[in-house]
Amino acid sequence: MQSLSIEPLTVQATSEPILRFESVSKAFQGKIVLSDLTLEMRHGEFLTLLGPSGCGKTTSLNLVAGLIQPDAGTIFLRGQPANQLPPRRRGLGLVFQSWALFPHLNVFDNIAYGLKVRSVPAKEIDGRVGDMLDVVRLPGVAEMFPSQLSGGMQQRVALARALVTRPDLLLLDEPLSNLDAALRKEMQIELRRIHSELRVSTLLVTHSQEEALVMSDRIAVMRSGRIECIGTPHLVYNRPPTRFVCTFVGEANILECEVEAVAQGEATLRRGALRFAIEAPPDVCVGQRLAAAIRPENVVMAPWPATTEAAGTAAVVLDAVFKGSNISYWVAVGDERLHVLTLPPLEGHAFAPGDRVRVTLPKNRIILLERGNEPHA
Amino acid sequence: MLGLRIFVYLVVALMLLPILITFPVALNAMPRISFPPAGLSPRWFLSILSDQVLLGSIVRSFWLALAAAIVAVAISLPCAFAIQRGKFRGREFLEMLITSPRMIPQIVLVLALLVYFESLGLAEKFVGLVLAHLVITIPFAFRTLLVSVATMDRRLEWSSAVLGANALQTFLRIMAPQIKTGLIASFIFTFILSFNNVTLALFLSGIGQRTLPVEMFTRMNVAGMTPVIPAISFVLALVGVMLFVILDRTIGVYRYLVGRE
Amino acid sequence: MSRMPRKKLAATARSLSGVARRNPGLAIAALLPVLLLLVFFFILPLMQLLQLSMLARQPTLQQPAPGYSIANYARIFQDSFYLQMTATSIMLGVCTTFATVVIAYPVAYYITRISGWERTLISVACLLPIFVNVIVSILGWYILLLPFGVIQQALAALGMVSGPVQLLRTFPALVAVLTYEHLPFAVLILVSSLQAIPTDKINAARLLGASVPRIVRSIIIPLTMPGLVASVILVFSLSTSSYLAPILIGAQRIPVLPLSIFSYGTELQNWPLAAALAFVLLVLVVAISYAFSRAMNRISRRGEWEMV
Repeated sequence: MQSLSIEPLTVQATSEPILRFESVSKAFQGKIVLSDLTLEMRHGEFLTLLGPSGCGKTTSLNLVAGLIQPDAGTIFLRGQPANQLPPRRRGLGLVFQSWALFPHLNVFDNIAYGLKVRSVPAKEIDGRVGDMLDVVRLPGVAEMFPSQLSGGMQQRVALARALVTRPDLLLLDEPLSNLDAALRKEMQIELRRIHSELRVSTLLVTHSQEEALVMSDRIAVMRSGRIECIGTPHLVYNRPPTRFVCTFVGEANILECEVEAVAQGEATLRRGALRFAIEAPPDVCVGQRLAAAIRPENVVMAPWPATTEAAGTAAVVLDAVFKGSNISYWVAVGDERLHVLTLPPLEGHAFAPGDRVRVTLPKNRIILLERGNEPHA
Repeated sequence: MLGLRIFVYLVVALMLLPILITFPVALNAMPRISFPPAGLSPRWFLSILSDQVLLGSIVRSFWLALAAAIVAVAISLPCAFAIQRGKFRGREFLEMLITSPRMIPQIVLVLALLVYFESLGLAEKFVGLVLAHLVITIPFAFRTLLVSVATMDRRLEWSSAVLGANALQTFLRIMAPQIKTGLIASFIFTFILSFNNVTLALFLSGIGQRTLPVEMFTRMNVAGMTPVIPAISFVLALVGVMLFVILDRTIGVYRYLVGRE
Repeated sequence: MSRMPRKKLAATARSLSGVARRNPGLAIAALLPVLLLLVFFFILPLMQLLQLSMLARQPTLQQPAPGYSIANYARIFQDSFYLQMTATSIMLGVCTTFATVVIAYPVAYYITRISGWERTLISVACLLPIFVNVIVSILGWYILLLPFGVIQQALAALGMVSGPVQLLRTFPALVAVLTYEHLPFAVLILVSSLQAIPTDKINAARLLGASVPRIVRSIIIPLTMPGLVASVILVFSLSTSSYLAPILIGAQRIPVLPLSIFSYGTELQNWPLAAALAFVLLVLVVAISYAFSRAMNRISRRGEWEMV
């Protein structure tokens, strides 16, 4: 199955990909984890494998690192087939979720490990370790042991250790899951900074869509051992091709609609009491069933009764929750429930349960999902 | 809790009593086992140093335990790795097999070995005794080492591999330090197990080749006992207690003696 | 969108769990020394012993290969002397096990609730018989139990006895010594078992209003069942097969199987009979342990426990 690639046509990779999966399959104890996976990663990019647990993203990472072998297919590193290459000759950096710092070595020795086993001269080791500690912004901890460090510091040491050997591909396995929320935000920015400063290709594996959106050049959304879609964060968020991607990355109101009318390049969709217009896709016809989605923050909500240019559909507010930076509403349009997010009003009050409102679904914000495309749940 | 506390300390007192009693008895000026001792004198403690037979048996016990412990740990370690990490079927069966000598009465084993060694010409030879000790210490060493190997973090090894280390470097730099404590604990406990063993030595060692416990046993049972036996008993007890305290404060006795349960 | 051929999918699914196949020779080499040792010095001798037990009489120079028969076993099961001895052995085991577990359980519980030097002190005392040679322990008891020894003097001081009291060579004395010897094993297993009970379960019960005896009965004992069973089995098998205490404390007054095994094995040089007795002991211990384990299994429906 070809992955659905939706990046703009102008950005075509002319240089060789640093990493390539070609029809890679893997099963554990009879259970298929990856099936016919094909993926390309460009030099210097920050690519994220995003998906729920069990989708095969960590397995993919372990395959790249050479810790396990594929059952079928080939993994190419820098253009060369790498299936038989042992991990230590792949020139990679790897950071585990648990960081896996060597507990019996201090910070300096942990970071220097990769250099020591390659018999780098001691003086050079000193310099490079020191530089690395500066890059990850951890001066002064060289003599301490991992058990004496906080989670955030341990993670930076793990990063430094992986990067000191100057790999051209860095693998990160959910590196931020063990950190608390505030630290996570900080580290997201740090990782992005280190990536651009060192210009190292980075493959990140995570289940957090926020991390993926914040840090990546491209996101590959995985599900059940396959890539459902791959593209820039902007495109994955705003033009998800499937229902799964649409709801996994961000929230969405999914509407199963029927085409009511087609006129002048516009099609009118109807779902219960809700009517809205979209750009007519090719070969659309009246009576056709389509699945559309709109994100809660894109639904426009205004008070009722309407003014002269009445637009939109009547609705009733069911619930309103103040969440600080935004307000979360549930409104009923006939039998349909819509989730709406708005900013807190600059003047006046927010809507309250029972208020009558009108909702508008802007044409350019409607996401058209693949027809009838609902792979196994 | 108070009632419990009293009970426990009562038990403690009763546990310590038989050991403590050896001390005053050993101080008896007369060559008699009696309490209260008739006159106090340190002569029996001193006589340990001049009792050649006794000293010889101590040395023999020491070498026997050392040999048994070293060999047991050395061959059990690769075994533990193979069982823990191997991917072949029948691992559980093998694990049971290796720990099975502990499950049969030691007497049965001793009799079997006695007869077996006679037919092999190994009876009453030091080598035979070492082999017999190995049979009963290996299940123990294996079990404790298995715990150590099982708790190793494989991601450390994987990190080491990705960082460029080969198998030998990974083993020496990353794996060995992790099991170091387990190895030492296993060695020490095996040594103690072997040193203290009486039944095997009793029937498999020659007349002039007795280990310390056997020498003590013979004097108690057959030859006639002077207070030198309580004296050496007390010394042994002191050493045992000190060893225990050191081990418990450093390694933690319960963890290693109980094993994987 | 092309679909993956069904066959290929199935083949992928059928492939083995994917860890790179290590060198199988390495595993064999690692296991070989231990396995060889056990085969040659454990399994083989035992089998030879079994065979020996079925010889009609002791092989001698004149008659190196007497015929097979089960005469030895027949003799054991028919002679009331041996039956009595077996019964005594079992009785000894049962009494020792009971005493040991009854003492060890509260002590183990206490140990898990304290820490620091107090814990080390109590642990030292209770684990002493393992660390200090068993001969030392028996010697100590021997001294205590001597006529006009410490215990007698204490009893006399309390006015409970007068005149010499024979404490050595009595059944209770032997049980006491064996209990002393085996307390450490029970304590070790029970400490481990009790430590595994999470305190939040106990706190939950207390919050619900359960009294202490109730908590012990309904939470602690069931959760430590496996440990209890393991320690019972271990202490029983060790004490029934014990040789040193019976010979030093009980002497010939309390005949138990191990003593007989040895006298036939060494002094009396009747190996076939000794071997037969040995196997009777072995089967006895294993059978009773297994039966106990199964019975406990059924009572609390918990699946297999390990025989330690």
